[in-house]
Amino acid sequence: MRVKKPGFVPLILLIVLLCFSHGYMDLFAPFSGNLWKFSHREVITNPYGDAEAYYDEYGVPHIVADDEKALAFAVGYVQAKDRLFQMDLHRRLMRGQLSEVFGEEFFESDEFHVKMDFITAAESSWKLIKNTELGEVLEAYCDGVNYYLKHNQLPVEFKLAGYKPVNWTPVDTLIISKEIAWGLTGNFWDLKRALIVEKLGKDFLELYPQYMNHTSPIVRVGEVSKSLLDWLKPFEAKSEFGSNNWVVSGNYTLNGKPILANDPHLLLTVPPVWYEMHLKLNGENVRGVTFPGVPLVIIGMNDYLAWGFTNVGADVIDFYYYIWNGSKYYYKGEWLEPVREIRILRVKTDRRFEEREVTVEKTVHGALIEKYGSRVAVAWTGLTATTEALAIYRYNHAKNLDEFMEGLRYFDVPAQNVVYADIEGNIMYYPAGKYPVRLIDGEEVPGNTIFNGSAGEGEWKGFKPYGFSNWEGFINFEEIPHLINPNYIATANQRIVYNYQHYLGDSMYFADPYRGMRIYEMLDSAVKSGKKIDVEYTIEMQLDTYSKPAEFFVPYILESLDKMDSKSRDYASLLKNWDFRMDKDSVAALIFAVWLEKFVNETFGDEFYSSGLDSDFYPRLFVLQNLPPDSRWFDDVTTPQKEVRSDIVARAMKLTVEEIQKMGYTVYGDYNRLEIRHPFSRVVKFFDYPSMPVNGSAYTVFNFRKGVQWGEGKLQAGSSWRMIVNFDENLCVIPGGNSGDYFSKHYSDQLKMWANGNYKPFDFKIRGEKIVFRVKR
Amino acid sequence: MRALILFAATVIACLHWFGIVVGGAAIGLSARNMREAIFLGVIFGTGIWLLFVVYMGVNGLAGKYLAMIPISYLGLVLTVATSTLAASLRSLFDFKN
Repeated sequence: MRVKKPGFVPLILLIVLLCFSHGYMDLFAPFSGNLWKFSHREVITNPYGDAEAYYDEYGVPHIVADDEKALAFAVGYVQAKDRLFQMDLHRRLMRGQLSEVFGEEFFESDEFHVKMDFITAAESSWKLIKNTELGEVLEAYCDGVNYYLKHNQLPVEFKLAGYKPVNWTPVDTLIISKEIAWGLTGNFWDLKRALIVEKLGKDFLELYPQYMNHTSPIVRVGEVSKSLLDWLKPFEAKSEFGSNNWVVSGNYTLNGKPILANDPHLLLTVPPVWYEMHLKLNGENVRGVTFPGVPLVIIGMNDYLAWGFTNVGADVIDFYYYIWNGSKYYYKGEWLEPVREIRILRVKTDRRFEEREVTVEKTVHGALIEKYGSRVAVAWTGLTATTEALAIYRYNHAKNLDEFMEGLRYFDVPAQNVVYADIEGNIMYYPAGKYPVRLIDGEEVPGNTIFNGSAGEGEWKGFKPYGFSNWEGFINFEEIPHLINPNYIATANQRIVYNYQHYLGDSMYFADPYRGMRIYEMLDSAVKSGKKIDVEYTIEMQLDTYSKPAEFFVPYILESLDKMDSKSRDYASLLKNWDFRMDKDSVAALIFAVWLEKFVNETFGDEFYSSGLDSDFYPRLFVLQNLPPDSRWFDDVTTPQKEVRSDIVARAMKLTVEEIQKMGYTVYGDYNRLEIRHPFSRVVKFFDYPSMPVNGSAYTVFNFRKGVQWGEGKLQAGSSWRMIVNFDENLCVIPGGNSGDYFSKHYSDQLKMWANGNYKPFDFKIRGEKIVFRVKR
Repeated sequence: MRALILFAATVIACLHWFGIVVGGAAIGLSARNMREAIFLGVIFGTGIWLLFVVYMGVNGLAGKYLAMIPISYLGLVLTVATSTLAASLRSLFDFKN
């Protein structure tokens, strides 16, 4: 046998191939690749006691135990099993650790979150909660998560990203609740408002009505820059987040018991933001949804009562500027050094890792944000020790209205419109939360401004950032406007009440009233006609696609027909007999949706863009709807002639025709498509949910927002959980699946149901595949 | 004999991906000539991948696996390339003396 020289070529090629591909082969070679190693444990050792978890036909865990800590351990285990990657991603976001695993493009996000120092705020909350009845429950939950982490295969995403998560802690759970709170109330409108005044003048404030008259802002030129706002934009609460809930007294329902409906509008993500679970402790049930990482039911029902939330949207964030002398700031007659701390962030780069310093600075008011020469301190109600987790714990265990209301007192942030119903027939509405009162020279002032921090103006009495607040200067719990046993009540992020004695926020803090108007319209109409409200009617309401903006704006279109060219007129004429429903197979809905987008831009774009401000600064749609036809805002400042509303309507219709033809849209569903993405979507698409046409719009009760700015890209938002409870026939659905495991049959099994307006039973029946948790004996 | 080699190669390729190299080389060495070795290498690699698709199918996951683009296709390409190059190692040896 002799070796032939040319025979080395395959050998060399093979060696080269193996050098380049061994990492891939380790991951996804047939059979032996790491991706194909699945864990399947049916018996788990639980240090706290026995428990059982049953996965039903939709992958919803029904967890049963006689000991609360044993139950919490099992909850931790199943949440980690189904959502561990999502949990880790969210804590990394809030801790400022994304760039460590996903690269330097996330450094700015990390820098912001570290500068805000959410982690210290969460640690303060833990110090406050640790010695309450929730403390040990949280610790047991963490042990359950960590048991899973230690004994099982990690989800596919960790393997693809090439890292292992560290142990879960109670602070991680509390930082998730800070994330949710920030996402709903971390609003930079005060800064934007100041920039509008600086760039465009106070006249523009007529577009943002309420609280703009005698309390015009104390704005110092140069305190805020567009660059700072652009930098902050990805981290701001999204105004697109809203929600619907309503509760109807048993006097008006078919079964004589109250009916409660809730659909919070949050980001539509893979996996969904909510995780559904049913807990049974000592025979007592509670079922609903939670954010993965939290062991309690946040929205749901127990054997006695049900509750739901929408975001109040109140102004619970303020900004302060100072007089500076070098590194010191002036505060009430003294020069103070901000508290400074250098944090080292580990950042993954093309050449492995590098360490970068971020300076965390704090003033007496809160976190100091400095960028592009602008420097403001941020006070936010979540930047202190808060107890909303304890409130939720109390809701889970409450058996009547009094016990539930005791829990409401602990709900600090984000302020929520809580609706409640119980089997005794009580209903209630309470916008629970902490609302600051701002004073200047003893006079109460609105908070939609940047305060002079050096003079101590507008500061919140009793608020201690990153410490323990006594909330002394906040609106008293009893003073918060609320209703107990009204006939019915509906909330859709609209203003809580008019002529309230305290400032809660200006028009930009509250949503356009269209959804609220429509819900009340449907409730009023049922009550007026004597119809008893039942589950079917409530489903009809939740799936309602009637557009109030269409009802108000279409007449403007039809009265402008004579200003349109023939093609535009043909399109506009299709709106004549339209029923104003934003249905996926509707042509009229397509025309209206595209037209509305163009009309808003054509009205405000000239003024705002010419001043360097973008559509983020536009006023609410309701303001535009109510402008007189010859309002100066309809005049295009870039043309010599004076335009009125009908000119802009016609111009927008011309652009609409062009866009529809260019894009090849035929019906609304071509334009309004569901495209729910996974965080890895930019790299691989297979994790994404299937795309499909969908009903609804941003202003309909069936809520769907096709493009929400998120970081550099766009995501979608809408009804993230639909729940109807009447204590006899309860229903629910989530937009996707309960499992975040790509290989699970429950990865997206509710998606079509959700899109098509179907529901599944929301009950306490224990069933399905079992996992057993046993004490080691 | 060749069937036994193919069986053994398949088993070790399922246990660890380096088994695709070892199995491919063994199959190549059992071939009568270089052309046949390459052909068998391609068949072996494709067969391993198809077997895996069947295995995933039995677990109800074939559709999910095939949708995992580019992972599923890269898995096919790398498996076939590895087994074919391994089978081509036959050219290192001259059996005719």
